[in-house]
Amino acid sequence: MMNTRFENWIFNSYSPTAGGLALYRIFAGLFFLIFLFPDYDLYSTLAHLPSAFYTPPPGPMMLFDNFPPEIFLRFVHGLLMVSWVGVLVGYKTKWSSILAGLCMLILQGFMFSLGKINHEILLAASPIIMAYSNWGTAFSVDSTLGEKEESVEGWPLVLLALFLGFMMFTAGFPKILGGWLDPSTQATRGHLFNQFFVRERQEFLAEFAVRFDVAFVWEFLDWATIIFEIGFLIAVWKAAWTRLFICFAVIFHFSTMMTLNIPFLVNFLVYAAFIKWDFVFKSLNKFLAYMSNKKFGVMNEDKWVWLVAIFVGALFLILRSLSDAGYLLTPAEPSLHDVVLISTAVIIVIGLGAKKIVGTVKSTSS
Amino acid sequence: MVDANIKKLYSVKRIFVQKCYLECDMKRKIIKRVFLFFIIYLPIQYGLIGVVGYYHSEPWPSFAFPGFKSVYVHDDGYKIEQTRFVLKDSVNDEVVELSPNQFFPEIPRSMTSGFIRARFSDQKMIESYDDNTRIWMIEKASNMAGFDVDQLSVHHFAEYFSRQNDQMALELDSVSTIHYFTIADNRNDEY
Repeated sequence: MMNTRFENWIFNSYSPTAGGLALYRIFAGLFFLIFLFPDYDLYSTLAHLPSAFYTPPPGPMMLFDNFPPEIFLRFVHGLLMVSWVGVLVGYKTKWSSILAGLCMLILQGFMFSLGKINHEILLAASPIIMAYSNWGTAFSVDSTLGEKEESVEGWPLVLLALFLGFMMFTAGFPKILGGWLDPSTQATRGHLFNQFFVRERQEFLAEFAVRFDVAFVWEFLDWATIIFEIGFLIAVWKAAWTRLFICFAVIFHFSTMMTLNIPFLVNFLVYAAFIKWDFVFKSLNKFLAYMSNKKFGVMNEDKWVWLVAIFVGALFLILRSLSDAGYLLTPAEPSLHDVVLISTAVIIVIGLGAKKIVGTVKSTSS
Repeated sequence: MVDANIKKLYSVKRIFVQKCYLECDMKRKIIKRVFLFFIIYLPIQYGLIGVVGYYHSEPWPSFAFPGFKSVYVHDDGYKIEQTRFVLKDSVNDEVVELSPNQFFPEIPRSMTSGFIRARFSDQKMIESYDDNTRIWMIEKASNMAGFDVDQLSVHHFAEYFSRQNDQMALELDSVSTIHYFTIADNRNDEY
């Protein structure tokens, strides 16, 4: 019985389609290449620091005793770019995905040997895990070249959810030990003051939050944060719960961005994996079938998917360029693209929530 | 003859289906084992992060997010720890204090605090720096300060704040030094 439930969880929680996974693959490729790529200038900094500053965290990086030459880091950076382009267009997708993850691990290993770990391992783990979903089966160079078609798999999404849920748990558990649940201390507020006054993160709603002096609300936020982070691990058991907690996560990141000015865009690459891409695919298909008949004549699926990808890629590039140019906001955190992307995500979540509520009300009234 | 061929076809199909089933079953078993491995591995590595982190520093790679467990609350106020690099020209009596972000602008802001904690929070670690590192630091300091720095130190201190309602600024009650380390002192040393 237990075994069946366990198997059911692994193999039947998600049933992605080739088209849906391909859309996520293309989105992930564009998102990573345009917004999440490591800073190219950092390699020069690392290579020119005295070797005494090489502080590898306990682990494999201790095998080295200095930062590698700049050219090596730039080579791995180039390889990372090529492999993510491979993921994007679906060329040798499985191997490109694994290579993308490994290159990211190498770069992160050296970057974090400065003494600070940025907890971005999911950037490396997610392409490796998703490689086994066969996300390159549709809308890819592989499918065009007639590579052996493999069936798409849903279990990598469960594994990704397990990692995410566990990592959220590791964020929540120390807070309990640290005294966040103590009603006499408002830890969230303490962090807000630290960010506002010491780190001078004073954008958006930060000032309003600093002025907001209702201890009960701050204590509620302390508790809500812990319940959300610990509860995420339980939510991994069902796809619907995972998606619900990802919606909470989006709201959580939006609120930390608005008050503490800390965006954590890295996680959104993983959150996006749990979007119902099959639904997106079907909806786009319907819309574009209608458009094709009206305006462009009959277009095959491959063609329109790539047209949409080019359109989204162009939008991302424009956003990134404006962000780097310091348009509206300075390029420091949170940058324009952080704000636009996270705000868009929260609008989608609110829209989905409203739709769900309306649906529930309608079904109960009828 | 036709019957024989059909029978043969059926047996081939049966073998093929059985082979597929066995392969599929094998694959499912491997995947289940992968899940079992990670279900056991994740808590163990988390425990290791705690132990290794306590005695050394957080290991990597690891599957964990930051805990932000500090509450920064001290009595009825807030305690905030700060670091400043103190750049001195003792001949002309000039002093400049720079925050870690100002002293190391080339290091991403998100990494500065960890870098300072790892490299400048321990006397033994600072004493272990070789002459090349000290010369590099002094040259960097002189470039940052705009004068010849002959003494470079790092000051870790705690600020205790209180805050009254409707005030937009924290009121500084007191400051206490946690550590004051000399990184390089050209007045005494010859590099």
